[in-house]
Amino acid sequence: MIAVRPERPKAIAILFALLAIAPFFLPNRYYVYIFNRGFANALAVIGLVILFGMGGQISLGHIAFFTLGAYTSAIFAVRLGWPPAAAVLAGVAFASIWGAFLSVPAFKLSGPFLSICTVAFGEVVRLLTINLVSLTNGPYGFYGIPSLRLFGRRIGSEKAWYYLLWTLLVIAILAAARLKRSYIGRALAAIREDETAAEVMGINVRAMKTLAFVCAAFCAGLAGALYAHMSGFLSPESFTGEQSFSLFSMTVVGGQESVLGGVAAGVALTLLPELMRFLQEYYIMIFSLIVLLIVLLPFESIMERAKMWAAGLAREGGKVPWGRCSK
Amino acid sequence: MLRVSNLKAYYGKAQALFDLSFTVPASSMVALLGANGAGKTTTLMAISGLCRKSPDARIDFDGGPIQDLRPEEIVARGLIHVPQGRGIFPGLTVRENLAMGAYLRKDRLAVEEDMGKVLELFPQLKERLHQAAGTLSGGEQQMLAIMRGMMARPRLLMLDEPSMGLAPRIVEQVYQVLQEINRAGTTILLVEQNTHMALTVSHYAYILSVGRIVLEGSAPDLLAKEDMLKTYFRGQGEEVHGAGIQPMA
Repeated sequence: MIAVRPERPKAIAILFALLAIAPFFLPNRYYVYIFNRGFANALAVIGLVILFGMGGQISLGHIAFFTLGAYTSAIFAVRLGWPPAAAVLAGVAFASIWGAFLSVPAFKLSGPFLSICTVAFGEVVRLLTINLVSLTNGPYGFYGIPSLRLFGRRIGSEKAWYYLLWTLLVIAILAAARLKRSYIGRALAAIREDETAAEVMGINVRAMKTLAFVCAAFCAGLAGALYAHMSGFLSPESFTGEQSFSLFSMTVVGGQESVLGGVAAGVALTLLPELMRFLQEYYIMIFSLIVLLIVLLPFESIMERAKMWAAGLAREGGKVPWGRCSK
Repeated sequence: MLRVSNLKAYYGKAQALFDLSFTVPASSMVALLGANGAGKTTTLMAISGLCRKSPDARIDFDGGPIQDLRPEEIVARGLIHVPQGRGIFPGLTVRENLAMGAYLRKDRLAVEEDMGKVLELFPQLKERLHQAAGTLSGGEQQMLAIMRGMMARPRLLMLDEPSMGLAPRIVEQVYQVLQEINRAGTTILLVEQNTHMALTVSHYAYILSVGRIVLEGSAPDLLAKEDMLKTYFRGQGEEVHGAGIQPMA
């Protein structure tokens, strides 16, 4: 759906090179921080691309895994005094275990039933973060989460986080793309297309569903754990159902199955609201409209329209051939 | 090669199969015939582990019991099910569909070789290798489903109504290929409503009515009494028990 496809390695290489030097050209640290948020979201979206795009399993409570990763890592680092890097691993592991649990209802449920189930899971996790005050500090927010230390150096500045997240994101993209081409990717595609047929092909459907949920929870948990140490502060208000829906829409906007598309949409849809701040109260409206347009019009068709329009301008001296049939 | 005994199956409280017993000898082609709702599809689903069956049911395949195995374990033994309504993967290409058939196989070179061989069965699909399977015609989709089944190198191929919704000419073509596959050594268990076509190609047949086997016999024998068979398909089987063919006890 989106223009970024592995068939265009040159364009992708240029894009990644641009991203590598971007922090030096951004106007201030705040923008670097927004990019970092975008990268964290993109990481979570990769998980949804595997789960939903490749395997056809809906998760509308996906922020729950992000939350589990974030709070677990924060609790291990602050309450138990673990080194932040080890706490991150604990957060990822805890989120992944819950991913495996959530795959159990998916053995029997699909479509709307599974969506409701995942929404419920998301709500349970959200309410726990509010009400387990002794652990999470509830609505007051979780303060004083130490930043990450890697190889003896503290990841303190926004730029350092940028490069850490950017590196992890590239690794995750490569891993997800490899997964898609592997026997696991083929099995997930088969399950998405026709579960019974997949079963009679000899695919262990349950194991594959569990694997997809664990992958998705792993990515979101990692993003969440990193986010906790990056921002230093967690509040239940930043992990609502709305966030789940926005992760889901990033996946859909990116073309569901496309890893790069999902990443691009994850970063873009995080940056966009910030760039539209000047619109003030109208920004949600305009933002929703843009998302709607992207979903309704495939990117290729937008490009084609633009080309036709430009060609028409050149040929007919200003007349625009809107509404004419293209052949 | 396949022996089914005392097979009972339920949908909730409704019993769909009543103590079904039958055998499929090695390298034969056996047909399971019956009207809508007779339990043909359920029988195949039960054999391939896709639906629950009574604990006393016994299914032996190739000398070993398979009634408690999971679907993928049954596939690994070479018992391949081509599901009803074709069950292809519409969003995947023809080639990817064929590759899925060989999902459990590790011998990649042989898989490539088999793909060539299988394509010889229905050469018209050669030009469509990179087309999404959902864009194929009904007949081509059925052919693809059979080819995909063959990609697993089945020892026994179970087909669920391969003639469903196809034009008579296509049905003939499909059945010709099934005969070829059978002659080349693959045992076939065929489920059909198209009695005539199925009896013409198979060796032996069982007639199923409301979850019970009511009649069995060699295909030529049954074909000779085809008119009588038709009564079973109108759900009036009981009335013709005295009509010459020995009903099952």
